[in-house]
Amino acid sequence: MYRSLIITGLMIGLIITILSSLAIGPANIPFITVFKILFHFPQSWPDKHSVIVLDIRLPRVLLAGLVGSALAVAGCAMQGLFKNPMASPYILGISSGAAFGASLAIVTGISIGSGFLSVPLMAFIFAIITIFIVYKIAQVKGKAPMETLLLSGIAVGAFFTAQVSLMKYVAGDELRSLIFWLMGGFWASSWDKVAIAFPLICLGVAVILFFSRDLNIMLMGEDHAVDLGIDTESVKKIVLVFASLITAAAVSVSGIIGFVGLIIPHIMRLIVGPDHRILLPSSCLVGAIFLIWTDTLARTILQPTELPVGIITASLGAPFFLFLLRKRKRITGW
Amino acid sequence: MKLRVNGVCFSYESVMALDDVSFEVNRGEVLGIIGPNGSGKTTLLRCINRALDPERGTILIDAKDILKLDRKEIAKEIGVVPQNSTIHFPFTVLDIVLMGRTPHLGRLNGESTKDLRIARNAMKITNTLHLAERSIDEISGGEKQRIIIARALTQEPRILLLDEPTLHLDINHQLEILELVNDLANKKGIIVVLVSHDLNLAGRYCNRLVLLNKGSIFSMGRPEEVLTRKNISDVYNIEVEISYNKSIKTNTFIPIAVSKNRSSK
Repeated sequence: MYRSLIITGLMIGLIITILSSLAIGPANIPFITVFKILFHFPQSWPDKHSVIVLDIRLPRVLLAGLVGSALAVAGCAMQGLFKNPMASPYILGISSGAAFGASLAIVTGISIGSGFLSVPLMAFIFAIITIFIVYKIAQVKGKAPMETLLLSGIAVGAFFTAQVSLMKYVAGDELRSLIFWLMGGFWASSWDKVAIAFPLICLGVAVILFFSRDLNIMLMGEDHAVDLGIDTESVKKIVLVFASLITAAAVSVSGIIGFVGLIIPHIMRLIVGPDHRILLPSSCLVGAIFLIWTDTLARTILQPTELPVGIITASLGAPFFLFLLRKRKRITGW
Repeated sequence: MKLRVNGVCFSYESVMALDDVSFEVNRGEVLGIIGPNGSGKTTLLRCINRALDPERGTILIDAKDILKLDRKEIAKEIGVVPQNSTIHFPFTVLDIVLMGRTPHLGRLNGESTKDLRIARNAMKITNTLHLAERSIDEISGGEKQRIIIARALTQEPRILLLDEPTLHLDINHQLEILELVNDLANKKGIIVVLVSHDLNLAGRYCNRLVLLNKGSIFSMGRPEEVLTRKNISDVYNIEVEISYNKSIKTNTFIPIAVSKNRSSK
């Protein structure tokens, strides 16, 4: 009851967020017109308004929402799995791997795909390669102990970070676009990217939600989980794979946006408690709401240019989180 | 119903931790596993519910071979109270106890009123019902141990394994936990296997004892047969004074001194 109330409330919040952020931007399009455009009312507005809402703002808003959800859910799952408040979606080096893939495509032009999607595809492929290497290195006799995973993630991540630095060093004219990609943002959003990210992120989030109860029990420690009939090795593997998948999808379409995946789960833990059955879905929705609003700010605050969204996520989110932290005196559970 | 442990062997890397351990426990019995540090007590307990995979041997509940069941099915048969349960997350006590229903629930099922009833009943038995809405991280050691026992009972197991259930508890809570465990065996017919370091409590509350030494059974039988001055001296390398206490009708043990003239090797 309490759970479905929270989820329903947040869903309504998300819908309002999407609709109102579609109405905000340099071209002044009233809220009611946005509504009419979306739901195919008889046309009473200039054609370019349809283009702005449907082809420019809508994919951008949807992409921000998807990426926000993916990072918040992946961060929440990683924190639960590692029982570590410092865990984020990037903890296993996925972001560094993706950054290396993207920098290869940007600087050297080496890529598997071509044109518009060459950078996201390379980022995605290298993110997946990274997580594969990290897991294989940590694996001993079919098991991957969490501490070893963490260390192998840090080491592999550091290796790729060094390669990204090398790319920056030799980038020349491409340095600016590389740096912009690394800061992350949604200025290059398109329906193509939505089409890539949507199925991957929906699938990954759904799978992780199925494992909510297992994640709760794993918080008691792996021994307890085994005693309660949970196959901890396969839970770890499945949750890691799908958390990595959605992180890779998010990073490949938006670059490395920090903070969302680390702090949204903490904020939600302070508000709804540690039970993943409510924590994961509410993090998912709040992650989307948060990133849509911060991106709306990012593209409007310095018109006509825009700010990288990562600057806003941290500048707004950190004080709010610290406020909650002071109020509750500690991070719940840690 | 009978639990049969048959020729179980287990080693960590190259160290043999259990060497051909066999015993049986009957319905309603409390079996105590005692022995010095590193003698294989916890390893044995963890082999029984296959948290560790024995290298050889069989573990049977009647005719059912535990080693052939999957994790979920094992958790329906065997509840475990591990050695220390530090839970840092503010789940309510009821949430924790309900986790005991996990092996009975499908991935998509929420807990039903039946599950809630089973959990509440387990909390009544362990005298923790009044704590239901409290947060687990604010609860004292003795209460927490009873809550973990309630969680294990919520699994509706036929066998209950406890690893040093009285560790870190004051003497009041020690007796309380062991009385509770005895009741579970007597009244519910649950098979109880518990590991203990406390010879006095083990001698008093267990129907039978298994004395482990270096991974094999040194002695097995009723407490007065196992807890002899010679056995204790051989295994623990210590002199004890044994005297019969009329009010609790059992032998009590007072360690006197570490044996000087001989070693247990």
